[in-house]
Amino acid sequence: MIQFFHVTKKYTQGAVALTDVSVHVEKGEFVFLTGPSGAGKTTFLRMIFRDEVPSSGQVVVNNQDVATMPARRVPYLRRQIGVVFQDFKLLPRKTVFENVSFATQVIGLPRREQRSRTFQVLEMLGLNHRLHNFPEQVSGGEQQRMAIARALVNRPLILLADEPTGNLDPDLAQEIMGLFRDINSHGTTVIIATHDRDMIRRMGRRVIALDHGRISAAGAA
Amino acid sequence: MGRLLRALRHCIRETWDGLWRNPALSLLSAAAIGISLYVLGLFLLLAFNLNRFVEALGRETQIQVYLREDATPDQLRTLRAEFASDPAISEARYVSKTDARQRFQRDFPTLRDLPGRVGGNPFPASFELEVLDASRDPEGLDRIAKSYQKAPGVEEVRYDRGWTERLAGMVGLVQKGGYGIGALLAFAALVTVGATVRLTVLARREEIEIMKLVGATAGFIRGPFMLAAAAQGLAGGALAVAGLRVTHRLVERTEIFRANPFMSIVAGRFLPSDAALALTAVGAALGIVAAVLSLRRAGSV
Ligand SMILES: Nc1ncnc2c1ncn2[C@@H]1O[C@H](COP(=O)(O)OP(=O)(O)O)[C@@H](O)[C@H]1O
Ligand SMILES: [Mg+2]
Repeated sequence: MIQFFHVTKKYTQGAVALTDVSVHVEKGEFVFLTGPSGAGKTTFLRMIFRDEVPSSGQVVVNNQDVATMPARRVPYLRRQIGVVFQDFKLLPRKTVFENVSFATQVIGLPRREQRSRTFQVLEMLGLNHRLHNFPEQVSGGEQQRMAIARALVNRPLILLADEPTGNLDPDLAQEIMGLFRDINSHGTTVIIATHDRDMIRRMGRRVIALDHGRISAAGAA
Repeated sequence: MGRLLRALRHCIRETWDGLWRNPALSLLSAAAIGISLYVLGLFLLLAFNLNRFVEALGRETQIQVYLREDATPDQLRTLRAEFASDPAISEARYVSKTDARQRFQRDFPTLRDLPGRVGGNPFPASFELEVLDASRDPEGLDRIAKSYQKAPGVEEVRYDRGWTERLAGMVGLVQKGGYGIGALLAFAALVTVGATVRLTVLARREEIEIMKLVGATAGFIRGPFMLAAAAQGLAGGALAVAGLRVTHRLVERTEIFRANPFMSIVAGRFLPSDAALALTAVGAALGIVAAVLSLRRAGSV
């Protein structure tokens, strides 16, 4: 499903975020991406939905080389990938409901479908009492769940989450992880960047560890 | 409802919201396009009226074929036959020496004794040729003149081409000047509209970034900006036409206009409706072009 072949990423400012990374993630896998801050986790995820392209090497997602993919195909790649951003990327002037339904509108779902799917994920994430609040009126944990709801609402084949539990208390973090596991059990490939070692240990899933942009250990933790 | 129809509806709704989110900017765009088209329209109006004048003038253009003193009746008959068979000539009138003298004496009563004093009748006989509309352009007239210049019995062929050509040249100049200034102002309008599009894009760059990240196509994102610019251009074009109409009315009412026949030459009629429509359409086109250029330059949209 996701293949990195000798991927190196140098940012224009000179920072080397990834060095010769080769890794495969199969369809339906649940993978933790770990490593200290600055290890290249975010960069790794951004390569997958083509927010960045490799400086050298190849990234293949769902059998498509993302670097050489024509620009007009990129939106369709992204529709297969739900992303929970580390900084959430919520729109401050849209309500909880609007922030999530926005994603369904963009891909042109029928109105009724937009509403029903949005209600569904908000319900699932326990945000149905917050529909008409604005992001600044809800807690950090609720903002986090808004971001997750938006990533899930289009039923992606792949779910990428960048430190999704960083703002949550342990109980809620545990609950969210359970949710990711459920989603994964329905066939969605899940990659979660985190440096929460306890969490990783508890979940007992495959771990890809990065250190200074290099793979330091791969396989089950 | 189809996906395309939904996208269209979304685009229209977004456009409408966008237009009203910052009415001052929308107005600025419309005004920039409106002003450039108004000025262009003024020149077109002038050129259009002058053109009508030149055409009317041209309708009176005749060719005079002066005959030699020693032209024989046979030669006259041949000429008459040739005129009759020339498809460019609608009518050929014979003006005898006597007719010519009488005409002179009628046109210049104070000089009526002059011919007698210079001895005999100095006026040559001639044919006056009426030229069909299709051949009344400078080339057509030239061709007719040349073809009879050398005919037996012909002294000289003359026509008042100088005038017509000079006027046609002037109309051309007015038109070119109009296009030139119009193009310059249109460029200024493009820059203005482009800048307002860029401002609107900047104001919404967060939203646009997220739209892209969740899989919006470029068309879905750009559509509302382009439609808004088209609407502003259309409004500008319509404003320009309305402004021209008002200007024209006002000019028509002035004393100078009524007292001076020249004014009816330069501003007698309003633009034909297809020209007015075209001006409005150009406004919409300008808006779209500005948006496309601006969005392309913004690159990240
Ligand atoms: N947009 C960027 N421009 C330049 N350097 C960047 C950019 N994003 C990340 N980096 C650098 O790349 C390295 C990896 O960053 P990142 O992928 O964000 O790591 P992590 O998510 O593991 O903290 C860091 O040294 C960071 O400073
Ligand atoms: Mg990061």
